[in-house]
Amino acid sequence: MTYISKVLDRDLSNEPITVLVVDDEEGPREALRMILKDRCSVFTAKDESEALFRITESNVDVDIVALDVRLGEKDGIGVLQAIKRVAPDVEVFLITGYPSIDSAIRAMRYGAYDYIIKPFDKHMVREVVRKGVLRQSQSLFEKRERIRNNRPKEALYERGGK
Amino acid sequence: MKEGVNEMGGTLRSNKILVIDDEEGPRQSLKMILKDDYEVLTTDDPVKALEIIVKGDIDIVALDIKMPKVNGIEILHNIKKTSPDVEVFLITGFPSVSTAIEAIQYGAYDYVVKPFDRDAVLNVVRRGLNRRSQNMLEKEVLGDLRFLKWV
Repeated sequence: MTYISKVLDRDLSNEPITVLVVDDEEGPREALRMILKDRCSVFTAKDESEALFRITESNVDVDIVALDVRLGEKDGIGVLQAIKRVAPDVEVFLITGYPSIDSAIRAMRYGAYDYIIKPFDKHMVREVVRKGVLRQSQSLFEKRERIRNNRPKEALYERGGK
Repeated sequence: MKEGVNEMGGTLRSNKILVIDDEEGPRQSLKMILKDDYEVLTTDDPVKALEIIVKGDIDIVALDIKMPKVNGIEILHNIKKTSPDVEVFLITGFPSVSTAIEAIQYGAYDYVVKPFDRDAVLNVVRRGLNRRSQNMLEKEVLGDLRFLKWV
């Protein structure tokens, strides 16, 4: 699905929400899967390349990414940047067991929409995912409105519009 | 403040920065850092600030988190509700993980600690302006692409 057709044609209300959990440890990956599996399709990845493969090359449209601040020796914020480069409409929240001002500020700079601390509270996790879905729908809605406002009248008539 | 001239001989609008802080010191120090490159407005009154922002042409807001009568995070929330295209960075003398997390949640794009480092402030403002124009460009491009599809 191209970016423009995703913005124009995707009907979020009729599609299941897809969450990708990126964490190098199995515990948090499975904990988030358990919390979210009743309401979302949940996929997991243990590192950057698996995450980017899932987002760009699989047939699934990922909506929300839960991303660990530290992926083994790798900095999760670098993965956040890579995700935002290839898929700017995917909403990302950071997860960490070791919160710090530095990682929170860098998360903000590179476009994460939330930052939550392990161990997970299931209500909070569901709320954060809900917020991400709302944010994504709102952003797609605004883009569609913008496109509609720029639509020339002739084109509307060609398509049978009034 | 420098006034630019475009290719057609018209004057380019300078980017406008609004500083909201209850203390005169930080307001003046941000003004000193930014005034050569941008038009800088300052206020200690959050209500007045929201009026200025709603009127239109503010590009970037520098917002103090801790003010006596009102929480900066609430102001951030209001700005983003009424003017989502305005980019906001927070300023604080007392950085904490919890305010940094709230800043992310309510859509700030950066968080700057007092006392100010001149280059860091200039970088943060430049980044905010880039982010703003990128967002606007993206919306324009999407409109144009749709138009081209129909032509």
